[in-house]
Amino acid sequence: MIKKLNNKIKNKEISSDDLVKEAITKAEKSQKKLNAFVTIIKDAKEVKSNNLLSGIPVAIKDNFSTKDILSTGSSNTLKDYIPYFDATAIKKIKAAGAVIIGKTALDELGMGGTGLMAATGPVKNPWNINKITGGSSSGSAAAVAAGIVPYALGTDTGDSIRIPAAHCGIVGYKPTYGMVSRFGVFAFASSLDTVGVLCTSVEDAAIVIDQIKGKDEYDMTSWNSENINLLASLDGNVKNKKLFYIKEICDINNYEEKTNELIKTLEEFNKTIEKCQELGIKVEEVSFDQKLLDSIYPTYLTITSAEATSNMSNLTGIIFGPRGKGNTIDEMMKDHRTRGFSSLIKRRFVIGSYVLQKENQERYLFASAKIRHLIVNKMNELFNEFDGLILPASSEPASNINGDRSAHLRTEQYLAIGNFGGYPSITIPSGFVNDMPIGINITGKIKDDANILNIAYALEKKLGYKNQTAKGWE
Amino acid sequence: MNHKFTNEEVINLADKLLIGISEEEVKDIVEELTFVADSMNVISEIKEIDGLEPLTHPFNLYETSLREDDDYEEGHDIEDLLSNADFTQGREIEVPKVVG
Repeated sequence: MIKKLNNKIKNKEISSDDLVKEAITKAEKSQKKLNAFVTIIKDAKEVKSNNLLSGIPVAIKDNFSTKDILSTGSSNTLKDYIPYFDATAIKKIKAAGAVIIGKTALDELGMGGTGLMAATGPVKNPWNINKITGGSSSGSAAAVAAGIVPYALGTDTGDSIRIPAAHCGIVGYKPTYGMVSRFGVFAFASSLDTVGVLCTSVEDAAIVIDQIKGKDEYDMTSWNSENINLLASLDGNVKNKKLFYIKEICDINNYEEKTNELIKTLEEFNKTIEKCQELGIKVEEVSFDQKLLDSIYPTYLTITSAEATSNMSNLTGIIFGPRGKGNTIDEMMKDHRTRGFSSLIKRRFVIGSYVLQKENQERYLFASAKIRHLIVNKMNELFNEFDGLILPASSEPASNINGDRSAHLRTEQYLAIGNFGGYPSITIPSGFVNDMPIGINITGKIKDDANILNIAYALEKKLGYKNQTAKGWE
Repeated sequence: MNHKFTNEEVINLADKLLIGISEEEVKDIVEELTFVADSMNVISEIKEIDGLEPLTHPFNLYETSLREDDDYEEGHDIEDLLSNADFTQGREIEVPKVVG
């Protein structure tokens, strides 16, 4: 999509100004139905540069600091916060000529996986506005799936790019941890947070990350990736590549609650595996200890709650954010935090505080961090033998906004494996279940992004959902 | 035997975080903390974690570098830094008296 738009601009078939205006108009029109944006930048202007992204509109998740543009993290604690600097990823995307047309809603401060927890209200799925988008990069996913922008930036701490991508029928790519600088992104859980992209093709994912990746002196966990050129690595040659899937996740007999949607999702997954094999990819089944799989969600919850509690202790309403009421500074901060945070955030903070108490650290936090180590060790061993892990991105398509999520969805968070080890991980659309899109996810070893993207690129061609957007939501 | 979480304990934890919580929120937090505690029982049955170090970062391949001592960074304008504070006085943030 990006190359096509770039060619059209170059050949003067369309101007960047037209593209930007069209995106802004579409964004404004979509608000009532989709509620994807916190801010629409009505005076966004064309930028000229000699780059594939030049003059093309982009939307940015509202947890990136954007200079002189409201950046709320979809939290009432930051509802009037206007950063005085750009996040490094924003600096880079602007330097590449991208035109930011809006900031997108997220589950408050990146916590939550539904798209229902933004301070501005629920984000709706463009394929069916009664369905959730998934989260936390909910607005970015909806904006891309609705065809408002060709791509949007997001962040992923557990599956926050890859689940909404699956639910909205688009591509979501979380690069290796540290490949893109986190400087200026609102920290949620620093050891897991990753900047990535939501778009409609693997090629676009490669183009965007090529532009924003790189070592940043402001983020000591970023690393030099000059030797990686994602776009140039896409040749579609995947013969004899090796993937594995986890038996316990993909076998219907392993689920107590066999919903119609779960059955169909796993049937579609098996068809995708057949397509992999047709491409010459070898796919094997690997068995995991069920206890280890069951421990992923509590491990994720414990680690993220602890890190978030610490990271967000600066949200006091004193040096930024709306000032709380009270006669003492403590009363002011308590008023600000009590009124500013949603119940979900408060819940996470209390859990975080509990597991951080000295007497609880060994039993909770350190035990979780050891489980994380065990899972990463196991995955690293498997990545010595295989190029990647392939899984259904979610075991069901998007659920109803007003409905209850299935019991097994509450505890599944398998994609967090990708964050535990900092692995590159990409979701691509793979079909439909009950008229809603589903996706598959491929995760590989650290810094092997080019290989993982190339496998996804070949599979995308075979599956035939490249450049897919939702129709009819208008 | 699991620790049984009480409302008072949860309210006390929230208070330390400078967060006020409603009765319903207390109930939800007790429920989720109980889930976490129960899960830790399952985790403690996984013997392979014995002897493993807690993993606090995904991998340990970070690149560090030294810079010249004469490198320095331009600071930010005080006005920029103060622009998001609701109450300021001159170059300072205004708060109630915090010392005797």
